[in-house]
Amino acid sequence: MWLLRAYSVALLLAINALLFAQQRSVVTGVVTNDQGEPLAGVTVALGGSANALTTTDTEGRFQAQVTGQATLIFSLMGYNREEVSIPADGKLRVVMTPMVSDLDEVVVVGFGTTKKVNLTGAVTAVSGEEVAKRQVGQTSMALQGMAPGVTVTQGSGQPGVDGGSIRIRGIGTLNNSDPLILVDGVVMSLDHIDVSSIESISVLKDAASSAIYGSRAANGVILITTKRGKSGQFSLTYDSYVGKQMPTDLPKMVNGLDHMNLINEAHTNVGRSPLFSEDYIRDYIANQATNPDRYPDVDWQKELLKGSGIQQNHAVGIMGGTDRIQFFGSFGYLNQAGIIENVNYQRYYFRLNTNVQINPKLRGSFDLYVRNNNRKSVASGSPFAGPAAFSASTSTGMIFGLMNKLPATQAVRYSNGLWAEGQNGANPVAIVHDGGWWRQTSTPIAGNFALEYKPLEYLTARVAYAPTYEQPVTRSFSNVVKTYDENGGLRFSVPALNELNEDAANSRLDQVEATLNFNRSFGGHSLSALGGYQYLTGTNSGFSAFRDNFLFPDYTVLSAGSSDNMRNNGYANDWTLISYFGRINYDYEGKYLFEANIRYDGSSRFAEGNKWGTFPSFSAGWRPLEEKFLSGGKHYLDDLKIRASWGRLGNQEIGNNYPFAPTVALTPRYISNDEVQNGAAIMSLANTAISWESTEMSNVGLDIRLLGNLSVSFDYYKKVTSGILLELSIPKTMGVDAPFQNAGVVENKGWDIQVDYARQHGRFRYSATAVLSDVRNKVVDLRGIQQTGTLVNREGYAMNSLFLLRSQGLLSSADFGPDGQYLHATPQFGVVAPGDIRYLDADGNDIVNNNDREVLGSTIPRYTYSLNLSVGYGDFDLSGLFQGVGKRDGYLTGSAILPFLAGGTAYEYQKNRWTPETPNAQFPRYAFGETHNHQASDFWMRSAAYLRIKNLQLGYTLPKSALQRIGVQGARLYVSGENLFTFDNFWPGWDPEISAASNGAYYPQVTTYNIGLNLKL
Amino acid sequence: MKKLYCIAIAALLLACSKDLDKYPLDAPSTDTFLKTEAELRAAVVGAFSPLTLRFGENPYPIWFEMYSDIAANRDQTPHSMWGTPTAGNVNQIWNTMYQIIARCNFILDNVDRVESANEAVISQSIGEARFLRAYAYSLLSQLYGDVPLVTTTLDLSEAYVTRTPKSSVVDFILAEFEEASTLLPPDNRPNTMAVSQGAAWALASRVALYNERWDDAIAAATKVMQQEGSQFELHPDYGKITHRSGKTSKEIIWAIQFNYTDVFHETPVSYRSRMSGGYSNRMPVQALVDSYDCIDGLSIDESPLYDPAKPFENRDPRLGMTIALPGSTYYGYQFETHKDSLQCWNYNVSPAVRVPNLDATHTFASFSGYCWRKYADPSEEHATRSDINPIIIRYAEVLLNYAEAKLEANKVDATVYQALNKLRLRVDMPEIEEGQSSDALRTIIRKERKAELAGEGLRYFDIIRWRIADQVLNGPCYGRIPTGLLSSAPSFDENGTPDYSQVANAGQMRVIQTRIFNPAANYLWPIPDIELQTNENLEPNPGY
Repeated sequence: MWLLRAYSVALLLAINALLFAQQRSVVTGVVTNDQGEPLAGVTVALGGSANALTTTDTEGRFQAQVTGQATLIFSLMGYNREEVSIPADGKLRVVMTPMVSDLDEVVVVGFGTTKKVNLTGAVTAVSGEEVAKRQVGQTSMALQGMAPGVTVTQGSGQPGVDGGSIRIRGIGTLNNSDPLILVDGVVMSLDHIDVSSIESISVLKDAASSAIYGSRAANGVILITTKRGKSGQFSLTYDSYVGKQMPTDLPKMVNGLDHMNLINEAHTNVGRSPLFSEDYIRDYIANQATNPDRYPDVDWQKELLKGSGIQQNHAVGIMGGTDRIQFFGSFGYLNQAGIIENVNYQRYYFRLNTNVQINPKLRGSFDLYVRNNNRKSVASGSPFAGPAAFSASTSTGMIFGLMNKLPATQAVRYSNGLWAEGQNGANPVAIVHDGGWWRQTSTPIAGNFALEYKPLEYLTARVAYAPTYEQPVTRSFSNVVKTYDENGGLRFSVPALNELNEDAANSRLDQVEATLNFNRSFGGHSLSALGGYQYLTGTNSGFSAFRDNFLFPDYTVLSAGSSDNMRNNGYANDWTLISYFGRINYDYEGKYLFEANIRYDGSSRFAEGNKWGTFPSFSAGWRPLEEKFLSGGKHYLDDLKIRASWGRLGNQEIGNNYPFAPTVALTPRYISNDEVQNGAAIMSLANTAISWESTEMSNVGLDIRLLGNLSVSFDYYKKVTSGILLELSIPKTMGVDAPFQNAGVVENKGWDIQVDYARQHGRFRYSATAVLSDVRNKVVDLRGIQQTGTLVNREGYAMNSLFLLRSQGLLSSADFGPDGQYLHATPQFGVVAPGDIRYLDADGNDIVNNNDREVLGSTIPRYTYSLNLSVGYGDFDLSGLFQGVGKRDGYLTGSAILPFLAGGTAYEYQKNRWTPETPNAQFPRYAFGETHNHQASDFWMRSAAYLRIKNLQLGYTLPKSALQRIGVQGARLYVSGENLFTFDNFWPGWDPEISAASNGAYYPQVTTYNIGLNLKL
Repeated sequence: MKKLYCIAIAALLLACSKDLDKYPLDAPSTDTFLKTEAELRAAVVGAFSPLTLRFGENPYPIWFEMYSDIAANRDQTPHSMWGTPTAGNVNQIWNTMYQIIARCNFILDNVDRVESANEAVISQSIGEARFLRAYAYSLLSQLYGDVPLVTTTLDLSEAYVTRTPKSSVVDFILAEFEEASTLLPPDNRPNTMAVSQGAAWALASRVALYNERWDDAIAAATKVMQQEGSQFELHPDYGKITHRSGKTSKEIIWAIQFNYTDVFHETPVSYRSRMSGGYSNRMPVQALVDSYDCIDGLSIDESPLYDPAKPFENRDPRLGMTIALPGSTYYGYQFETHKDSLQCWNYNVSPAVRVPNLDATHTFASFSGYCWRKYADPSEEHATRSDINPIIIRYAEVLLNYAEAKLEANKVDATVYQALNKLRLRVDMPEIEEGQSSDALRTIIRKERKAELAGEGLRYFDIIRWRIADQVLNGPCYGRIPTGLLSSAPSFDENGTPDYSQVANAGQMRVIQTRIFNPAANYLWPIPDIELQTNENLEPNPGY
């Protein structure tokens, strides 16, 4: 399509050329860049001739005599060549776009920057501009589809927690697989940073580029650089959007009448008496319209999804600088209201980056960052009060789980205003309204103070101190929700007593680092070296307090609760990491590139003798086009680089801060004489020999730039993680939990490819970036542990594989003998009858039970891809981001697959069930209370591959001439949509991105529609 | 100068390296554990702590009732709770009991490290650890058959144990209870965690009976019975033993401890009627209701006092004290489950008012038409908070154990009838006359156990050891006829199990669930799947 347009444009130009072939004329014009700024020194030449006619002046103007030629060629270093036909009036306005891959393009790498051409590792750079195009609450989601080999998966659309989980080149460990994220060199969550203040993002994917981060780099490293002021450039920017969120997809539930008839079928099918009598159903039909209190027909989704879903984001940036002082300040505000009431997220964001040239040799920088997060949600359960109807960690998940489960025959609220009982007192709408709230406020503060001393041109010393503080305060007030029968009789009061839980945490991370950098060229040789020291220490502490029985539920401070049952709790832990590191880069005439890194890390998380680890890496590159014997190919091939690397990385994120220490837990309790007694017990075996997980990774890569506008980058890698800390199953007869041991081996093999292309023809411009990557994950060694859940890690298969029975369609009466006896291997999951799923007796022992499960699916996304297209004409721009996963198996459990489970109803699509009349139905017969059909089997597995229109945006840039009069440098208006369409083959109504084996109790992903403004003064 | 730098750098490195020595800030190291008397007591508390295991709302001993023929769990059939090696109950009981065993083993292995002069505390702690460990093995061996007998703290290298024959495990249990009884105090304090020596004998009588070691059972039960009046006695009000006021009753020999604020359970909400704020998803069933005799001591198919139109009149008073029957008052409401009883009385307000009756109209009102009264005490304020201690063993069971052991040992004498009649006299049931035939007495004892102990989690073990589970746990499980009563009494077999095949309108009874029980496999629980996978030295049970 794009190619076709390019061709038609070219054709038009050619026709023009023919028409004006024999004319002689004077051509005048002006050349600007895509920002409208004039370009000086642009060479203007006649098409087909090597001779330059003229160059542009400082205001971008030129004049030239043209005879018998129809096109002019404009060229300037760093810009794409433009070939333009001469219009009839001889007046031209030429816009030149910068080259996509510039020889001088600089990429941020660990502890420094390097020219992209000199890179020998696998690094993907993403510009801040690109991520700022997205209207997402959390920055991690803006990275989705932006870099090959980086997989971002979103499990929830809840404001404040709608960030994605980031995996770089697969999953290398059973423990923490999150990459190390450094914002200006300091550990920080990616979601802590506002997209508007990002200058660039570098993803360090291979061991060579990340080994300088040693023991924290095994899952990859993401380096964020924030914007800084530049001398002589003063600007104020204001970026803003307002939008509305709505669920991407929801399963459609059956109505009340269907529910009653179908659940009766589910009962009678298993020999139970019908749940709803014929009389009742008759009354229901007759009286539903007049007496909805007694005969409700409720759309729970409609009743619950009453949040406004409005989101708004504002960011103001001020930038400026003189020769000696530069600064960048930014302020951001985000407010997202949930799609259900009582859910909200609000963020204030403040950053000031300053540089001061103290004297010619000494430079200082001082950055300050403050953020204020306020997240609100429905009440969460108490850590003290034991199990309750409210589950602790998944409060909104539970609300949505109930929404997608409760039958239409259960009322929400009666006409007298009282709440109906929902599921035994858990009425999701009532909980959202009356059940109290959960609020978290945190104000992380980070500072970064650095001094850079440059005694000699080739030597730089730098010291930096960066403290980070965070003190999140979480308060949850669970109020008593009273539910009633339709005549006003009280049914349930849940929880029994209202209660307030407060948790005040305090975490501090201090980072001190010192580096010495040497950089010198001798003839064709250039050499740089880096040596450094880093000291990192973190402390976490906190306490929580609890009271219940608040007589006045409007007064929700601890002192207002009863002192009878007040409790508190506290915790503290700390860790330290000490590191020495070094790097050497060498290149010869830009042809042969070589780099070596080493890091020596000591961690407090391991016992004496295992504290220290060494993490080396080597990489090399060759740019054959720089060789004289190959320079002939340069006409179409602009650049070529072949890279190879090897390195070893570590992982110390292995659960807690003291994995080696055998301790006595003081948590067990027992009662005597109605008083609590505190106990002590050894909960788990200890293993003092615990040490680093270690990842070795080899990478070969190829970077090609050709035809000026097309660049391709390809990498192939193999990554083996060994010494993975495993909780090796030990016999339960030991009576303690298993210790962690360095035992597992996991391998990831894969490739990434990125293709960029950009062109401009006059006022028409377009660009495309395509990204595709694959990873094959395999568990090599788990010391024989064979996990047996639904999601398992088993030797020889990918991690988090689906371990399932193999289904063989539905049984018919032909599968049963004349006396009703089952003719195949006997399943041990209760009653089996025609219409049930037939399972394969995989081990051939004539019994079908859990031993017949096999690995039948993989939940790790493969063939992750995206296509980022943008096209512009004059003042209009249109861009689209298409993102998808080519291969992944999805799985649902619980009430998401089994109709009528635990008080649930059915979905419309589940009506397609087996009955004697419909033997070819898609789903098994309804069987209330029987477990045969919801055994974990591939019957419930489906492809979770998808293609999403992640973002579609249409923008209009206001004409500069009009704006300049009012002192505005640029203004752009846009409309955009996020998560607009999803093409998938997953179960209807369920998002393909949800975590595997979900029971559907999750806050759904959202589609958003936004209008926005970018303003620059 | 250079030297100075080196020293400075070395000093820096050294200072920093020390920062890498970090240890947990909130818990002591295991190296020193069990040095003081306080630590020893804390370890004993830690060993008792897993006993508060719950399944759903119910502490496990109460939940066990739902495995049997006289009760039902609306959500699950018995087989689905224990019939597969991956079933949650199968794994949790195994794990919890071995956790208790490991904690007891640790105490017993390390108690000699305790630096304390108080011998009484030390011997009591040893006694408690041995008692608790023996109890854990009694449950394991009863459910799983042969189980690994682990009696010391194991290293990982020694942990791949094999199954010990059940008879050896039983030998161990009985010996340990005997040993524990010499260390435990005589005082019965049923509302505390303190265990009395009588508790060890009482449990020994149960284990011996279950394993057909009649003489051991008789001997152990006799020792408990000798303490009747001093430590143990029957509670005068049968209906209150499982209510709050019964928590301190001397009838209770050993119970799992809960309280109202710290460690409580939610049994009432799963038991109560819809009118009283419960969800009635664990319930007694028709087969239990019909099993109670009439007050003349005859079963309902034989008694002239039984009127099918008024089936709850003239019945063993334990029926009404165990089960909420239609027509009775339950939590201040008139309890009616006939589907046409659209209204009922609310006596919680004065004067009483007629209110819509959810126990007739609610979709999920008790499927059987009955609710439990045991462990559902109307004096409890909140349905989701109960501090009633689930009884593991009470004196009435010891008397029944004694009687049955004497019968099966062929040593029936007057004491057997005395033991049984104590229970019957308490509830004004006629005494059993002496001189019954063995078979008749066996029927009497089995019916008496069902009537006396219903709802206390013991029925399942009885139908397993009597090998009648394949008769009583197969096929439909019935609730009442939703809009009527049975036209006549069912007939009964020699175990007191009702048979409805001759009842004219039996087909109208509500089928709560249809059950399966495979006698070739289900008399034992499966060994947990993960355990078989982890430890290759373990053999699965036959049929799994």
